[in-house]
Amino acid sequence: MSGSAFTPRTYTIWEDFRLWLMHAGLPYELADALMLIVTFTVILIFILVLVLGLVLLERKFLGWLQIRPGPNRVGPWGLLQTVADAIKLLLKEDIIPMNADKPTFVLAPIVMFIPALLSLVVIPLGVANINGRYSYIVAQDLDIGLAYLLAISSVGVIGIIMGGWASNNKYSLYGAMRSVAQLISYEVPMVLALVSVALYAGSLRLIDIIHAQQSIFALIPLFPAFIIFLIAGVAETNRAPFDLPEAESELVGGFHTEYSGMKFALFFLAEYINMFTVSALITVCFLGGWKGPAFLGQNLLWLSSLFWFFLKVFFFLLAFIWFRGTFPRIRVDQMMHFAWKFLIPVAIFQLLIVAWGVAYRNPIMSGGYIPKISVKDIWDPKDYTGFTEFTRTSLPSALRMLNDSEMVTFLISVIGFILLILFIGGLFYRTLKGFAPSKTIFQEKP
Amino acid sequence: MSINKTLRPDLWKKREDTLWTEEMILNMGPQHPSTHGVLRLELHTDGEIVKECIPHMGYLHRGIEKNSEHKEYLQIIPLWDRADYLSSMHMSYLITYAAESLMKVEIPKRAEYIRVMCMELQRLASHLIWFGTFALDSGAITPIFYAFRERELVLDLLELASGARLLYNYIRPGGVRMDVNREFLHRLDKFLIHFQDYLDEYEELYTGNAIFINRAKDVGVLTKEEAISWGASGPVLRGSGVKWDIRKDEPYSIYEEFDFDIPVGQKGDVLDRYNVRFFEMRQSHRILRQALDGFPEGKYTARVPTSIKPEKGEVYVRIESPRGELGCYLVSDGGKIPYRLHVRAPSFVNLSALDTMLRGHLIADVVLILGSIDIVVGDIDR
Repeated sequence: MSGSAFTPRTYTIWEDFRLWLMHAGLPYELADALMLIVTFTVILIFILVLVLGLVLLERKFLGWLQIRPGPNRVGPWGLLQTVADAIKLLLKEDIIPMNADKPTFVLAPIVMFIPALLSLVVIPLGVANINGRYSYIVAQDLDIGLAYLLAISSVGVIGIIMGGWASNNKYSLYGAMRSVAQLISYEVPMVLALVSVALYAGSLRLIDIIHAQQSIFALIPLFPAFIIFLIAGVAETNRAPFDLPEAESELVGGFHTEYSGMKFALFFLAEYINMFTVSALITVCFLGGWKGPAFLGQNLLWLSSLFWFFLKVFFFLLAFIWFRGTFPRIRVDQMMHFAWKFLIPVAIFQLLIVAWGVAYRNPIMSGGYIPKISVKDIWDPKDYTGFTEFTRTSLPSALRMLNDSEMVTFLISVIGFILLILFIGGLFYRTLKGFAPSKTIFQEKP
Repeated sequence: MSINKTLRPDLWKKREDTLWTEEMILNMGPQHPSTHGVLRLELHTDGEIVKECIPHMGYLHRGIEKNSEHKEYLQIIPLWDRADYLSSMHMSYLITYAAESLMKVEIPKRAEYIRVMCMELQRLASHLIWFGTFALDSGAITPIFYAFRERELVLDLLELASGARLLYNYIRPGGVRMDVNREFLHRLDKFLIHFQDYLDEYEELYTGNAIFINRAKDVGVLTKEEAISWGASGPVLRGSGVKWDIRKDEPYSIYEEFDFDIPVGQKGDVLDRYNVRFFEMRQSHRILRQALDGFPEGKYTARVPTSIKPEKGEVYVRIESPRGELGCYLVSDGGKIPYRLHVRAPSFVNLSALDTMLRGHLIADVVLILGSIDIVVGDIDR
């Protein structure tokens, strides 16, 4: 597989399904329509089951964090609690406040929900081995998957603004204004972190990004980008400690204060789908997606790949819930300062590092894709053909391809990487170290 | 919701040169998750910045003071238990103390010890519930469950002593209503052994958190002078650096027999008030340990008549409740019922300093500062 210029045709399992239908004798148009219907239905059911499970997981896990059992009355171990809640929300009276802007008020949950749904289209969940050819478990494999995801995810904020404005409630208005500031601010470091990933993998296609992590997960060379993306992802999904738009103790409910019934449920669903999307994106971009030992053999590759993917995704989902159980809420001005004064400079720095690594054919910084020509040759116009060809090699052979100056930059990057890990470890140690000030600060002097 | 335009014309003056902006009035409460009851704060805000805060109270007014002028002393005590419902032991001790000051009665040593133990346990319970709700105000949802775990142990102890869990009606003129049993002492001992560890656990869970420290530091500063001129008391005053604790400076009951420190803050911000309360919990633990070790034998109550008649006269007594200086002004005409009984509520006086503390801060800080004052609306309105 070569890099950004030529990407070979990839197949999805839905296209295999269409092929199978056509082999069974159906005309192409009918098979295509059937494929779309089946894809749509499966994804919708998958989302509903996922969100129901996620809500239950959050309540159970939060319960265990807070020394209480969590829901345990409806069904065995409370498994049917979210089903009961969903039915309750569906049957509730649909209240629209008296002076609300009615069309906007009704439209807002939909505007937030649909993009959340759409963003799941490009996320590859796994890979299947069908008759010796790999087919991917993804609804649509877009060339610009990463850009599509970012574009779609920024539409959701419009729903929040609409809801907050239309409610005719001051708390909702505050929540909406906070969410605008927050989502727009945190989009910048998020995009910068993802640009680092795209540069590293040499592609915007999510499947290519996963393949670029064949030898080493991007988590390790792109560790700062990973941390930035994790923080920005929490902020983008309005989860604690960045839950300012719906701050319960300050703004009652923020933008969804006035919402009830199914409209509230849509906001709720959108939040959980976004949570899943961000976790899946972290998994794809930094933890190699479905990559993992195929412990069930090649025939059952789809099962083991799904297992690895969801294992990683649920690790991050649990981390989100864990954050919520641990952290106090950040203040609105601190939130902005954190984004603009800390995250964005670090993200830009990370981007420069990756660009530097890619330009000097640093095999760690370019996911094992080594350009056949070096920077010097690109600058020389007579050899430059307009696009760069990439070869994919193992680390030792890639190192052998480098010239002396490139070797030096490689060694510098290794040393810098070790220093960075030490620095971040020190930060973590300083943050996580427990202490009890009331034992020490206020001790009376004799 | 309307504003009196004649009172504040500056808010409504249309500026020709710039975009027309005006202050927004946000009514926080009386139904709001973070106003700790039915308190209404009228916030004049410029964006998220609070320009002015006017607390409106009276939503929980029950006329306890007036009611007290029609009831006998023993009937008054359960009434006042309901004023500051998070420290009812202190409320009932206050009325008892006022009545006893006008009576010729010698309180047995054991009764005083029981009273002090109950009051310090009550202080622990009150501070624990403050810790939980304060953390909840700041957005951390977990600490309250841990705080309630230990509060449960304290309430179990108080239940063993008095038979009730929230409103005790336990301390009364002459002593206490009934003696504590051996199991109370045993379980108190067990509780005291573990309580320090619980406090350490809270502080590791919450105090060291960088987000919390950033939010609490330099927020809601009340300087020493401001605190004194507003008449603030309790942890709010001590957080501002004034070393004033009635248990130490004007000892009542048998507090002079115990060895404990008074924590003071330096700056008077939210973090200082937070730390002062945490240190107070450790000091209460010390007092409880000393009281348990020196617990004497004897009678649990003096002989007092069923119908209490203090002598003619008037008295002002004050004690240190978890919220501050709890004072009682009692006028007796020598009859069965008080002629006038007024209570100085610490929550009420401390709340009046709220406006000073939160001018120029954000809406998110309002709930944090309000939480750091530790108001009880029943105490404000009575």
